[in-house]
Amino acid sequence: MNGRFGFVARRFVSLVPLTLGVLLLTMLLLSLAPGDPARMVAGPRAPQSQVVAVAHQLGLDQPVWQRYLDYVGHVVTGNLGTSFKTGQSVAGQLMDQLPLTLALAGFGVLLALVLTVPLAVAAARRPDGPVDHAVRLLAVFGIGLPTFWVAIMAIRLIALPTGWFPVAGLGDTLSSHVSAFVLPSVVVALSILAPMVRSLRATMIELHEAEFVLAARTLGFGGGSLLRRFQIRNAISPLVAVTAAQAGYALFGTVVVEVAFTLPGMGQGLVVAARTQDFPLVQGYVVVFAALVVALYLLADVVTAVVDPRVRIAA
Amino acid sequence: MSAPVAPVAAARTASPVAAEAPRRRTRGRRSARVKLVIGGTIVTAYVLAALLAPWIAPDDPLKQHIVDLLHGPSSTYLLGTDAVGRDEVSRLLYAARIDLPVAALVTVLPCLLGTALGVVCGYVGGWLDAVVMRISDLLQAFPMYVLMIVLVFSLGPGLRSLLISFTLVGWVVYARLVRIEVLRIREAEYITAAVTAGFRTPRIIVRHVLPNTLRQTVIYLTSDLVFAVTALAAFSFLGFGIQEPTPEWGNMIAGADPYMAQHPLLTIVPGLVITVLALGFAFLGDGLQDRKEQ
Amino acid sequence: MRRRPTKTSPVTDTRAPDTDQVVLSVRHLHLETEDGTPLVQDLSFELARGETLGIVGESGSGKSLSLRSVLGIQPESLVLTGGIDCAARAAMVFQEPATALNPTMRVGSFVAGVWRRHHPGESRSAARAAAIELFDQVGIVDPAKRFGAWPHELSGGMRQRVMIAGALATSPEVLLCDEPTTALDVRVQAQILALLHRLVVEREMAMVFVSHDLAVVSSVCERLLVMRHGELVETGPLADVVAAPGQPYTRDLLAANLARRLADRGASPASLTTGGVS
Repeated sequence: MNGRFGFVARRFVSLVPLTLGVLLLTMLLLSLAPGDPARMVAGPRAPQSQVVAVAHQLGLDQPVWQRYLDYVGHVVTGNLGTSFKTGQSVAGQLMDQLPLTLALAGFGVLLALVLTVPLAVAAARRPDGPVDHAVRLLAVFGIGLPTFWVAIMAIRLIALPTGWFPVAGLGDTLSSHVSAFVLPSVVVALSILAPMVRSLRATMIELHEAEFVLAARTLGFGGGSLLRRFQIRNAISPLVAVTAAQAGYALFGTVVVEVAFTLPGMGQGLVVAARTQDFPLVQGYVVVFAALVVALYLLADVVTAVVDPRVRIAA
Repeated sequence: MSAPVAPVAAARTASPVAAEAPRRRTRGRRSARVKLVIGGTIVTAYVLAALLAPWIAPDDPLKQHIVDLLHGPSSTYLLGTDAVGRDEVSRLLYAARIDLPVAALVTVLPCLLGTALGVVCGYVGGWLDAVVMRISDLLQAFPMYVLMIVLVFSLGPGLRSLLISFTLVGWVVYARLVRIEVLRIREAEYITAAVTAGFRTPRIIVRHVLPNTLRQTVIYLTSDLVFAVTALAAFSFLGFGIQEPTPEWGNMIAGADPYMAQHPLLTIVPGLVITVLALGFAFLGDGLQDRKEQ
Repeated sequence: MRRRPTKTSPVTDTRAPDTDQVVLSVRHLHLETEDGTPLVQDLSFELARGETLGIVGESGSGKSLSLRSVLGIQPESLVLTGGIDCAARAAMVFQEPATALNPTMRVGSFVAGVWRRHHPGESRSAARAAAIELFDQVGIVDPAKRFGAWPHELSGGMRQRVMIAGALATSPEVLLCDEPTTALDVRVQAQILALLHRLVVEREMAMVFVSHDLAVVSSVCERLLVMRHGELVETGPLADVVAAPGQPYTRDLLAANLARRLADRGASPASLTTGGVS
């Protein structure tokens, strides 16, 4: 266990420079934005002196490296600044919206996994067979479908006619909350499904022909036991890798899906903030999104380390 | 931190005997050709439509027929009109003139940048290599689209920011591919350098590297094209991309969204158009990939 | 009981000495791909109890494929015709132990698992003890400690010993070796060959040993079968074939191997001789 624990610990440590880099990149990118943040806060009619005062208050007259350090310090303590528009705490607004986005992405990924496994296993059982061709065709389709359009189509073709699901928003009751999640989760799942199916299918096929599977067969392992112990355990690692990558995409999927379904999550928040040129808010969103992705990869590494004994060497 | 580590040995499970038995080769070749044909046909059709739009479009895509708002399909307007009375078919056709070149551009630019960086890093090595690779790890850690939204936000909506954001994000995979090949060739060069009295110019490296990586680069290009087409539309849909009144499939869907109940075709058709084009590129990429594995 | 058929090649008389029971009989084995390309053509041979047969040929000669067909693990897309009778339990030792062992399974659990499948009803601890015993028999030092090792933690030679232990766990009467030493370096090769020879003698197993290296084969086998392009070229007792090869191809093969052996002898202290084990 020592080796695996060391691997995870090392991964965790490597997060630090990465996070710092992310924050730096975010700050640099956003500094490209046109317009004067101080002016925006102070208002278009405020006198110049007030703008200067605001700039000082926001720390905008500091040198870049100082601002960066301040920012890192703030982030670490959980202070992500205040919104230009609403004056509310950025962190507060993010915390309000985070659960919804996480739930949406989470359900999407879970649903995608639930769909991936049987599809890929069925396709891999007989490569080039009718099931395989059908699955592969569906996978290609899945890659080409624009997520936002699928969301709109879901509203148009399912929500509107049947009335089973709300067309927009979360509604007031618990049950409306739940039913509001169904279609968006399905859309998110569909948007990330295709590469997962492809990957797992390829893995299963490769494992089916793998030397150690053949060897085990000759030594008497057959049927169900073989499938379980040999193929599944070896298939988990690549599956985790592709799921982690797709989970990252799922986070983006939530951006368009939330906009399409008018759900008050981080995705929609980011879009609104970007449209209204709300600097600190956008910065906050980026940081949180990036942090989520980084945490996601760390989680994937942990799972892989637990399952696959070879991982120690690769680190 | 790049994507999670995939087990090293996963690639080496193939049976050594498998090479002796040419399995499924003919079937694979046929299906690869089918995919290439389908993909090629679709893409060619779109390119033709875009090129010939000024001649085959029934109407001016920007002209608003105030009297004919949200008409259904009719003899004058094949697919009807949108919320401000513009002919849908014409807009679709003209949108191809935007979507196709832009998608091509945002795909090719990162490829060029990435390839150049890859060559430089592989050849020069040292701190430049280390720095660039670190940056690429960093970029990969970002959720790509969030990064792009940030860039678009910083630089303002429109074509320029799209180009910059796609390029900034997309170069990594090409750079990595080319860089590895350069390193590999360099290694070989050291061996042959002893024999051929040091002809180790960058020219030779480029001449070997580019052809070797060409196939994989093209495959990446096709999958980037798929992404570009859909992402471009998505960005325009969100309001960050191509702006009204310029017709673009994504912003057409956005514009038609409020009127979905009255005129569903306005949202359905542009989406289908996007999907089919993306499928075309996907088939091309798949066909090439199949061919590569022969 | 049965005489080996003499129809193997038009020139060489392959009358072999009478021995008791035939444990493996391959008759007119034919393997071809879906589009008709033949990979193995009309291969026939027999193996008697306790006999050791070496199959040599270049890569592409079909020797590995033939061996795998015996156990039915040839690639599924190939069309197989002909008769294969294996009257006894057969186990295979594979070429590349790194890929033949499940990477996510401890080696001890693997061998114990094999043993349990062939000794139904036995407890897990009995299987563990048996596995450790087998490890010892194949020359793994500190077998109890190695029980919990992962395949990637072991050297090539050790992995191959594990593979052999796994094969032995089935209590086989026939051992099928598919180039088991090709992936190992020369010194380890000699050890594994010695091990195999000892096991075959101790347990009175029959063995088929496939290799492209004539020297390796000749150190453990009494009979020889030469293959080329999927066809049987020549077969007979090892000493006979080596001393007086009937076919021009066999002569070339011997010459090539001799040259290589001479080159190898310069490089390695292990001396490789024909007939018998060094």
